[in-house]
Amino acid sequence: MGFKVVTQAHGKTGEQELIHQLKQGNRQAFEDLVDQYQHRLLAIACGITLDREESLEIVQDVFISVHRNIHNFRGEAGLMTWMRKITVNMCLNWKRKWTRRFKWSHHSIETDQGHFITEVETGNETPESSYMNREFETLVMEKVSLLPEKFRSVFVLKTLENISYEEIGQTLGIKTGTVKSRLHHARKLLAESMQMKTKVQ
Amino acid sequence: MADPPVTTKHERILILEDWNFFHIKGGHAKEGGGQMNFKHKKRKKNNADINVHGAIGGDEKVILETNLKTCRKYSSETLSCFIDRELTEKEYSAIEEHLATCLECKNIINTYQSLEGHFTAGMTSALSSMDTARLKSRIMAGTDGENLNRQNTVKEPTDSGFSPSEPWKDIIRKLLHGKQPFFSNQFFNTRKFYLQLTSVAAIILVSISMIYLQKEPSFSGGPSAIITSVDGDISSVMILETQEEKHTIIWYKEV
Repeated sequence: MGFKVVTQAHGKTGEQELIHQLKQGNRQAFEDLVDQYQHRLLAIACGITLDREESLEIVQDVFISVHRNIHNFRGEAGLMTWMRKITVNMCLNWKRKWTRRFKWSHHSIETDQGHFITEVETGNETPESSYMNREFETLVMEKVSLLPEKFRSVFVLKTLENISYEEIGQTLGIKTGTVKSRLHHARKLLAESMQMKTKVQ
Repeated sequence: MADPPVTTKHERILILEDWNFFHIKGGHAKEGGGQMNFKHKKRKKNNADINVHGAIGGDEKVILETNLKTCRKYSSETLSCFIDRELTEKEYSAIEEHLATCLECKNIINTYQSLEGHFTAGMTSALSSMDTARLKSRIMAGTDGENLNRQNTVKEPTDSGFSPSEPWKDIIRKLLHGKQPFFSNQFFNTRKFYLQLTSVAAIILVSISMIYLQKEPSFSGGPSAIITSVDGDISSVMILETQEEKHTIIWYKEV
Protein backbone atom coordinates (compact mmCIF):
# COMPACT_ATOMS: atom_id res chain seq x y z
CA MET A 1 0.00 0.00 0.00
CA GLY A 2 1.23 3.44 -0.74
CA PHE A 3 3.46 5.10 -3.24
CA LYS A 4 6.61 3.78 -1.65
CA VAL A 5 6.47 0.79 -3.97
CA VAL A 6 6.89 3.20 -6.86
CA THR A 7 10.18 4.48 -5.56
CA GLN A 8 13.04 2.06 -5.44
CA ALA A 9 14.21 1.37 -1.93
CA HIS A 10 17.20 3.48 -1.04
CA GLY A 11 19.25 1.89 1.67
CA LYS A 12 20.62 4.02 4.44
CA THR A 13 24.12 3.81 3.01
CA GLY A 14 22.82 4.73 -0.43
CA GLU A 15 20.98 7.77 0.90
CA GLN A 16 23.97 8.95 2.88
CA GLU A 17 26.08 8.72 -0.23
CA LEU A 18 23.44 10.63 -2.20
CA ILE A 19 23.38 13.37 0.44
CA HIS A 20 27.15 13.55 0.36
CA GLN A 21 27.16 13.88 -3.43
CA LEU A 22 24.45 16.52 -3.30
CA LYS A 23 26.48 18.57 -0.84
CA GLN A 24 29.46 18.24 -3.18
CA GLY A 25 27.39 19.84 -5.90
CA ASN A 26 27.08 16.70 -8.00
CA ARG A 27 24.58 17.57 -10.72
CA GLN A 28 23.89 13.93 -11.59
CA ALA A 29 23.10 13.21 -7.96
CA PHE A 30 20.54 15.99 -7.96
CA GLU A 31 18.99 14.62 -11.13
CA ASP A 32 18.78 11.20 -9.49
CA LEU A 33 17.08 12.81 -6.51
CA VAL A 34 14.44 14.34 -8.79
CA ASP A 35 13.89 11.05 -10.61
CA GLN A 36 13.45 9.16 -7.36
CA TYR A 37 11.13 11.45 -5.48
CA GLN A 38 9.21 13.75 -7.79
CA HIS A 39 6.30 11.33 -8.23
CA ARG A 40 5.80 10.85 -4.54
CA LEU A 41 5.95 14.54 -3.80
CA LEU A 42 3.62 15.26 -6.69
CA ALA A 43 1.10 12.74 -5.37
CA ILE A 44 1.15 14.38 -1.94
CA ALA A 45 0.77 17.85 -3.43
CA CYS A 46 -2.09 16.78 -5.68
CA GLY A 47 -3.86 15.06 -2.85
CA ILE A 48 -3.72 18.11 -0.61
CA THR A 49 -4.14 20.99 -3.05
CA LEU A 50 -6.35 19.19 -5.58
CA ASP A 51 -4.84 21.48 -8.18
CA ARG A 52 -2.77 20.00 -10.97
CA GLU A 53 -0.89 23.11 -12.01
CA GLU A 54 -0.28 24.28 -8.48
CA SER A 55 1.05 20.86 -7.53
CA LEU A 56 3.57 20.95 -10.36
CA GLU A 57 4.74 24.39 -9.26
CA ILE A 58 4.96 23.37 -5.63
CA VAL A 59 7.07 20.32 -6.41
CA GLN A 60 9.32 22.44 -8.60
CA ASP A 61 9.75 24.90 -5.75
CA VAL A 62 10.44 22.07 -3.31
CA PHE A 63 13.34 20.74 -5.36
CA ILE A 64 14.74 24.23 -5.90
CA SER A 65 14.54 24.79 -2.15
CA VAL A 66 16.28 21.48 -1.52
CA HIS A 67 18.95 22.43 -4.04
CA ARG A 68 19.64 25.69 -2.26
CA ASN A 69 19.52 24.39 1.29
CA ILE A 70 21.10 20.95 1.08
CA HIS A 71 24.19 22.29 2.81
CA ASN A 72 22.02 22.92 5.89
CA PHE A 73 20.57 19.41 5.89
CA ARG A 74 21.93 17.53 8.85
CA GLY A 75 20.47 14.15 7.92
CA GLU A 76 18.90 13.40 11.29
CA ALA A 77 15.69 12.50 9.51
CA GLY A 78 15.66 11.05 6.01
CA LEU A 79 15.70 13.04 2.79
CA MET A 80 12.11 12.11 2.00
CA THR A 81 10.98 13.13 5.49
CA TRP A 82 12.55 16.53 4.95
CA MET A 83 11.17 17.01 1.45
CA ARG A 84 7.76 15.76 2.50
CA LYS A 85 7.60 18.39 5.21
CA ILE A 86 8.59 21.15 2.79
CA THR A 87 5.97 19.93 0.33
CA VAL A 88 3.19 19.76 2.89
CA ASN A 89 4.04 23.22 4.25
CA MET A 90 3.91 24.71 0.77
CA CYS A 91 0.61 22.98 0.09
CA LEU A 92 -0.97 24.17 3.29
CA ASN A 93 0.26 27.70 2.69
CA TRP A 94 -1.23 27.73 -0.75
CA LYS A 95 -3.21 30.93 -0.73
CA ARG A 96 -5.34 30.47 -3.75
CA LYS A 97 -8.95 29.48 -3.32
CA TRP A 98 -9.45 25.75 -3.24
CA THR A 99 -11.21 24.58 -6.37
CA ARG A 100 -11.60 21.23 -7.86
CA ARG A 101 -9.55 21.68 -11.00
CA PHE A 102 -8.31 18.17 -10.98
CA LYS A 103 -9.89 16.58 -14.01
CA TRP A 104 -11.70 13.80 -12.25
CA SER A 105 -14.85 12.37 -13.75
CA HIS A 106 -18.00 13.21 -11.83
CA HIS A 107 -20.60 10.91 -13.27
CA SER A 108 -22.14 8.36 -10.99
CA ILE A 109 -21.71 4.66 -11.25
CA GLU A 110 -25.26 3.55 -10.70
CA THR A 111 -26.33 0.26 -12.10
CA ASP A 112 -29.42 -0.22 -14.25
CA GLN A 113 -31.36 -0.97 -11.09
CA GLY A 114 -30.28 2.33 -9.56
CA HIS A 115 -27.99 0.85 -6.92
CA PHE A 116 -24.56 2.21 -6.33
CA ILE A 117 -21.69 -0.06 -7.09
CA THR A 118 -20.35 -1.31 -3.83
CA GLU A 119 -18.53 -4.50 -4.50
CA VAL A 120 -14.98 -4.42 -5.64
CA GLU A 121 -13.72 -7.37 -7.59
CA THR A 122 -10.11 -8.29 -7.12
CA GLY A 123 -8.18 -10.55 -9.41
CA ASN A 124 -9.39 -12.09 -12.66
CA GLU A 125 -11.05 -8.84 -13.70
CA THR A 126 -13.42 -8.92 -16.61
CA PRO A 127 -13.56 -5.88 -18.88
CA GLU A 128 -16.82 -4.89 -17.25
CA SER A 129 -15.50 -5.20 -13.73
CA SER A 130 -12.33 -3.40 -14.73
CA TYR A 131 -14.43 -0.51 -16.06
CA MET A 132 -16.44 -0.49 -12.84
CA ASN A 133 -13.29 -0.42 -10.77
CA ARG A 134 -12.01 2.60 -12.69
CA GLU A 135 -15.32 4.33 -12.17
CA PHE A 136 -15.22 3.48 -8.50
CA GLU A 137 -11.74 4.94 -8.23
CA THR A 138 -13.00 8.12 -9.81
CA LEU A 139 -15.82 8.33 -7.30
CA VAL A 140 -13.47 7.77 -4.39
CA MET A 141 -11.21 10.54 -5.70
CA GLU A 142 -14.21 12.84 -5.89
CA LYS A 143 -15.24 12.06 -2.34
CA VAL A 144 -11.70 12.62 -1.09
CA SER A 145 -11.71 16.02 -2.75
CA LEU A 146 -14.79 16.88 -0.72
CA LEU A 147 -13.11 16.18 2.59
CA PRO A 148 -12.13 19.25 4.61
CA GLU A 149 -8.44 19.97 4.16
CA LYS A 150 -7.45 19.02 7.71
CA PHE A 151 -8.91 15.54 7.25
CA ARG A 152 -7.75 15.17 3.67
CA SER A 153 -4.14 16.05 4.52
CA VAL A 154 -3.93 13.30 7.10
CA PHE A 155 -5.70 10.81 4.85
CA VAL A 156 -3.43 11.58 1.90
CA LEU A 157 -0.24 11.28 3.93
CA LYS A 158 -1.29 8.02 5.51
CA THR A 159 -2.61 6.43 2.35
CA LEU A 160 0.14 7.47 -0.04
CA GLU A 161 3.13 7.46 2.27
CA ASN A 162 2.09 4.89 4.88
CA ILE A 163 3.99 6.69 7.63
CA SER A 164 3.28 6.50 11.34
CA TYR A 165 0.84 8.74 13.17
CA GLU A 166 3.79 10.32 14.92
CA GLU A 167 5.50 11.18 11.67
CA ILE A 168 2.28 12.54 10.18
CA GLY A 169 1.91 14.67 13.30
CA GLN A 170 5.45 16.01 12.94
CA THR A 171 4.88 16.79 9.29
CA LEU A 172 1.64 18.65 9.93
CA GLY A 173 2.56 20.12 13.30
CA ILE A 174 -0.25 18.40 15.20
CA LYS A 175 -0.44 15.88 18.01
CA THR A 176 -0.51 12.14 17.43
CA GLY A 177 -3.93 11.92 19.02
CA THR A 178 -5.22 14.52 16.59
CA VAL A 179 -3.82 12.50 13.69
CA LYS A 180 -5.59 9.40 14.93
CA SER A 181 -8.87 11.23 15.30
CA ARG A 182 -8.72 13.03 11.95
CA LEU A 183 -7.72 9.94 10.03
CA HIS A 184 -10.55 7.95 11.53
CA HIS A 185 -12.96 10.76 10.77
CA ALA A 186 -11.76 10.96 7.18
CA ARG A 187 -12.21 7.24 6.64
CA LYS A 188 -15.62 7.28 8.22
CA LEU A 189 -16.78 10.27 6.19
CA LEU A 190 -15.58 8.64 3.01
CA ALA A 191 -17.19 5.31 3.78
CA GLU A 192 -20.48 6.89 4.70
CA SER A 193 -20.52 9.17 1.69
CA MET A 194 -19.89 6.22 -0.53
CA GLN A 195 -22.69 4.29 1.21
CA MET A 196 -20.42 1.37 1.03
CA LYS A 197 -20.98 -2.21 1.95
CA THR A 198 -18.38 -4.82 1.32
CA LYS A 199 -18.68 -8.57 1.32
CA VAL A 200 -16.71 -10.44 3.87
CA GLN A 201 -14.78 -13.12 2.04
CA MET B 1 -33.23 -2.52 18.11
CA ALA B 2 -36.46 -0.62 17.47
CA ASP B 3 -36.63 1.53 14.38
CA PRO B 4 -36.23 5.19 15.28
CA PRO B 5 -38.95 7.60 14.14
CA VAL B 6 -38.16 9.30 10.86
CA THR B 7 -38.29 13.04 10.56
CA THR B 8 -40.39 14.25 7.70
CA LYS B 9 -39.32 17.82 7.80
CA HIS B 10 -35.91 17.68 6.18
CA GLU B 11 -33.51 15.04 5.02
CA ARG B 12 -30.17 15.17 6.63
CA ILE B 13 -27.00 13.20 6.20
CA LEU B 14 -24.99 13.49 9.35
CA ILE B 15 -22.11 11.18 9.92
CA LEU B 16 -21.93 10.13 13.52
CA GLU B 17 -21.89 7.00 15.52
CA ASP B 18 -24.71 4.54 15.56
CA TRP B 19 -28.31 5.46 16.21
CA ASN B 20 -28.60 8.77 17.95
CA PHE B 21 -31.19 11.42 18.42
CA PHE B 22 -30.01 14.98 18.26
CA HIS B 23 -31.91 17.93 19.48
CA ILE B 24 -30.42 20.76 17.46
CA LYS B 25 -30.57 24.14 19.07
CA GLY B 26 -29.79 27.33 17.31
CA GLY B 27 -26.91 27.51 14.92
CA HIS B 28 -27.07 27.91 11.21
CA ALA B 29 -25.57 25.71 8.61
CA LYS B 30 -25.02 26.78 5.04
CA GLU B 31 -26.05 24.37 2.40
CA GLY B 32 -23.26 22.06 1.44
CA GLY B 33 -21.42 22.12 4.72
CA GLY B 34 -20.54 24.10 7.76
CA GLN B 35 -20.16 23.88 11.45
CA MET B 36 -22.86 24.02 14.04
CA ASN B 37 -23.53 23.26 17.65
CA PHE B 38 -25.81 20.47 18.60
CA LYS B 39 -26.84 18.61 21.67
CA HIS B 40 -25.97 14.96 22.02
CA LYS B 41 -27.81 12.70 24.36
CA LYS B 42 -24.55 11.20 25.50
CA ARG B 43 -22.48 14.34 25.59
CA LYS B 44 -23.47 17.80 26.66
CA LYS B 45 -22.40 19.68 23.66
CA ASN B 46 -20.53 18.90 20.55
CA ASN B 47 -19.24 20.59 17.46
CA ALA B 48 -18.79 18.85 14.20
CA ASP B 49 -18.17 19.50 10.56
CA ILE B 50 -21.15 18.12 8.79
CA ASN B 51 -22.66 17.88 5.36
CA VAL B 52 -26.13 19.31 5.25
CA HIS B 53 -28.75 19.70 2.63
CA GLY B 54 -30.73 22.82 3.26
CA ALA B 55 -30.42 25.22 6.17
CA ILE B 56 -31.02 24.17 9.72
CA GLY B 57 -32.38 26.54 12.30
CA GLY B 58 -34.32 26.41 15.51
CA ASP B 59 -35.14 23.14 17.20
CA GLU B 60 -35.18 20.18 14.91
CA LYS B 61 -34.90 16.51 15.53
CA VAL B 62 -32.66 14.69 13.17
CA ILE B 63 -32.12 11.00 12.70
CA LEU B 64 -28.57 9.92 12.26
CA GLU B 65 -27.94 6.75 10.42
CA THR B 66 -24.80 4.93 9.58
CA ASN B 67 -24.40 1.87 7.44
CA LEU B 68 -21.20 0.88 9.08
CA LYS B 69 -21.63 -0.20 12.68
CA THR B 70 -19.22 -2.00 14.90
CA CYS B 71 -20.29 -4.77 17.22
CA ARG B 72 -19.74 -2.29 20.10
CA LYS B 73 -16.86 -4.24 21.52
CA TYR B 74 -14.43 -2.04 19.59
CA SER B 75 -15.01 1.44 18.27
CA SER B 76 -14.43 2.24 14.60
CA GLU B 77 -11.57 4.48 15.70
CA THR B 78 -9.86 1.54 17.36
CA LEU B 79 -10.33 -0.48 14.21
CA SER B 80 -8.86 2.41 12.24
CA CYS B 81 -5.77 2.22 14.49
CA PHE B 82 -5.71 -1.53 13.99
CA ILE B 83 -5.35 -1.06 10.23
CA ASP B 84 -2.38 1.23 10.83
CA ARG B 85 -0.83 -1.00 13.51
CA GLU B 86 -0.92 1.87 15.95
CA LEU B 87 -1.91 -0.37 18.85
CA THR B 88 0.06 -2.34 21.37
CA GLU B 89 0.88 -5.91 20.45
CA LYS B 90 -1.60 -7.17 23.00
CA GLU B 91 -4.43 -4.98 21.65
CA TYR B 92 -3.55 -5.94 18.09
CA SER B 93 -3.70 -9.66 18.84
CA ALA B 94 -7.00 -9.33 20.67
CA ILE B 95 -8.64 -7.54 17.74
CA GLU B 96 -7.15 -9.95 15.27
CA GLU B 97 -8.75 -12.80 17.16
CA HIS B 98 -12.04 -10.88 17.36
CA LEU B 99 -12.13 -10.28 13.61
CA ALA B 100 -12.14 -14.00 12.98
CA THR B 101 -15.73 -14.15 14.24
CA CYS B 102 -17.13 -10.62 13.96
CA LEU B 103 -18.52 -9.77 10.53
CA GLU B 104 -19.43 -6.19 11.42
CA CYS B 105 -15.93 -5.23 12.48
CA LYS B 106 -14.46 -7.12 9.56
CA ASN B 107 -16.74 -5.13 7.26
CA ILE B 108 -15.38 -1.86 8.58
CA ILE B 109 -11.78 -2.98 8.17
CA ASN B 110 -12.41 -4.13 4.60
CA THR B 111 -14.25 -0.93 3.77
CA TYR B 112 -11.53 1.38 5.02
CA GLN B 113 -8.80 -0.62 3.31
CA SER B 114 -10.73 -0.77 0.08
CA LEU B 115 -11.19 3.00 0.03
CA GLU B 116 -7.47 3.54 0.42
CA GLY B 117 -6.67 1.03 -2.27
CA HIS B 118 -8.96 2.78 -4.72
CA PHE B 119 -7.60 6.18 -3.80
CA THR B 120 -4.02 5.03 -4.39
CA ALA B 121 -5.00 3.50 -7.72
CA GLY B 122 -6.93 6.62 -8.68
CA MET B 123 -4.00 8.85 -7.80
CA THR B 124 -1.66 6.68 -9.86
CA SER B 125 -3.96 7.06 -12.84
CA ALA B 126 -4.26 10.80 -12.34
CA LEU B 127 -0.49 11.27 -12.08
CA SER B 128 0.15 9.23 -15.21
CA SER B 129 -1.45 12.00 -17.24
CA MET B 130 0.80 14.69 -15.78
CA ASP B 131 3.91 15.79 -17.61
CA THR B 132 6.58 14.84 -15.12
CA ALA B 133 9.28 14.94 -17.78
CA ARG B 134 8.59 18.63 -18.26
CA LEU B 135 8.52 19.13 -14.52
CA LYS B 136 11.97 17.61 -14.27
CA SER B 137 13.22 19.87 -17.07
CA ARG B 138 11.91 22.91 -15.24
CA ILE B 139 13.52 21.79 -12.00
CA MET B 140 16.90 21.22 -13.65
CA ALA B 141 16.67 24.52 -15.52
CA GLY B 142 15.67 26.31 -12.33
CA THR B 143 18.73 25.05 -10.54
CA ASP B 144 21.19 25.43 -13.37
CA GLY B 145 24.14 27.66 -12.49
CA GLU B 146 23.33 27.71 -8.79
CA ASN B 147 26.06 26.63 -6.49
CA LEU B 148 25.04 23.75 -4.23
CA ASN B 149 27.91 24.21 -1.81
CA ARG B 150 27.35 27.52 -0.12
CA GLN B 151 29.64 26.75 2.78
CA ASN B 152 32.55 27.93 0.67
CA THR B 153 32.95 31.55 1.70
CA VAL B 154 35.80 32.24 -0.71
CA LYS B 155 34.75 33.41 -4.11
CA GLU B 156 35.03 30.55 -6.50
CA PRO B 157 37.25 30.93 -9.49
CA THR B 158 35.10 31.06 -12.57
CA ASP B 159 35.78 30.02 -16.12
CA SER B 160 36.48 33.63 -17.00
CA GLY B 161 39.31 33.75 -14.51
CA PHE B 162 38.02 36.44 -12.22
CA SER B 163 40.15 36.86 -9.16
CA PRO B 164 38.98 38.09 -5.75
CA SER B 165 41.07 41.23 -6.15
CA GLU B 166 38.82 42.44 -8.96
CA PRO B 167 35.31 42.11 -7.55
CA TRP B 168 33.89 44.58 -10.06
CA LYS B 169 34.33 42.00 -12.80
CA ASP B 170 32.29 39.56 -10.75
CA ILE B 171 29.50 42.10 -10.58
CA ILE B 172 29.50 42.44 -14.36
CA ARG B 173 29.40 38.68 -14.71
CA LYS B 174 26.38 38.39 -12.46
CA LEU B 175 24.60 41.17 -14.28
CA LEU B 176 25.22 39.53 -17.63
CA HIS B 177 23.78 36.24 -16.47
CA GLY B 178 20.78 38.04 -15.04
CA LYS B 179 19.44 34.98 -13.17
CA GLN B 180 18.35 36.82 -10.06
CA PRO B 181 16.38 39.99 -10.67
CA PHE B 182 17.30 42.46 -8.00
CA PHE B 183 14.28 44.68 -8.43
CA SER B 184 10.80 43.45 -7.81
CA ASN B 185 9.39 45.99 -10.26
CA GLN B 186 8.43 44.17 -13.44
CA PHE B 187 9.96 46.89 -15.59
CA PHE B 188 13.43 46.23 -14.25
CA ASN B 189 13.24 42.54 -14.82
CA THR B 190 13.62 42.74 -18.54
CA ARG B 191 16.78 41.48 -20.13
CA LYS B 192 17.09 44.67 -22.10
CA PHE B 193 17.50 46.51 -18.85
CA TYR B 194 20.33 44.20 -17.83
CA LEU B 195 22.11 44.84 -21.09
CA GLN B 196 21.84 48.59 -20.74
CA LEU B 197 22.82 48.55 -17.08
CA THR B 198 25.81 46.37 -17.80
CA SER B 199 27.13 48.71 -20.46
CA VAL B 200 26.58 51.77 -18.26
CA ALA B 201 28.29 50.08 -15.34
CA ALA B 202 31.26 49.12 -17.47
CA ILE B 203 31.66 52.64 -18.80
CA ILE B 204 31.46 54.12 -15.31
CA LEU B 205 34.03 51.71 -13.96
CA VAL B 206 36.44 52.39 -16.77
CA SER B 207 36.02 56.13 -16.37
CA ILE B 208 36.67 55.92 -12.65
CA SER B 209 39.78 53.85 -13.19
CA MET B 210 41.05 56.34 -15.77
CA ILE B 211 40.47 59.30 -13.49
CA TYR B 212 42.12 57.48 -10.64
CA LEU B 213 45.15 56.68 -12.72
CA GLN B 214 45.21 60.26 -14.12
CA LYS B 215 45.69 59.07 -17.60
CA GLU B 216 44.34 60.89 -20.63
CA PRO B 217 42.22 58.76 -22.74
CA SER B 218 44.27 58.14 -25.80
CA PHE B 219 44.56 55.12 -27.86
CA SER B 220 47.72 53.76 -29.23
CA GLY B 221 48.13 51.29 -31.94
CA GLY B 222 49.62 47.97 -31.29
CA PRO B 223 48.33 44.65 -30.19
CA SER B 224 46.04 44.33 -27.20
CA ALA B 225 45.90 41.53 -24.69
CA ILE B 226 42.63 40.02 -23.65
CA ILE B 227 42.46 40.28 -19.90
CA THR B 228 39.25 38.45 -19.54
CA SER B 229 35.99 37.69 -21.25
CA VAL B 230 32.60 36.80 -19.96
CA ASP B 231 29.77 35.13 -21.83
CA GLY B 232 26.30 35.78 -20.53
CA ASP B 233 22.86 34.68 -21.63
CA ILE B 234 22.13 37.82 -23.55
CA SER B 235 25.54 39.36 -24.23
CA SER B 236 29.26 38.85 -24.05
CA VAL B 237 31.88 41.19 -22.70
CA MET B 238 35.54 41.19 -23.50
CA ILE B 239 37.99 43.31 -21.55
CA LEU B 240 41.21 44.10 -23.33
CA GLU B 241 44.28 46.04 -22.34
CA THR B 242 46.71 47.75 -24.67
CA GLN B 243 50.25 46.55 -24.34
CA GLU B 244 52.16 49.74 -23.80
CA GLU B 245 49.74 52.32 -22.48
CA LYS B 246 47.72 49.79 -20.52
CA HIS B 247 44.46 51.27 -21.63
CA THR B 248 41.44 49.18 -20.82
CA ILE B 249 38.99 48.54 -23.61
CA ILE B 250 35.65 47.04 -22.91
CA TRP B 251 33.94 45.42 -25.83
CA TYR B 252 30.58 43.84 -25.63
CA LYS B 253 28.37 42.08 -28.03
CA GLU B 254 24.75 41.12 -27.84
CA VAL B 255 24.30 37.40 -28.41
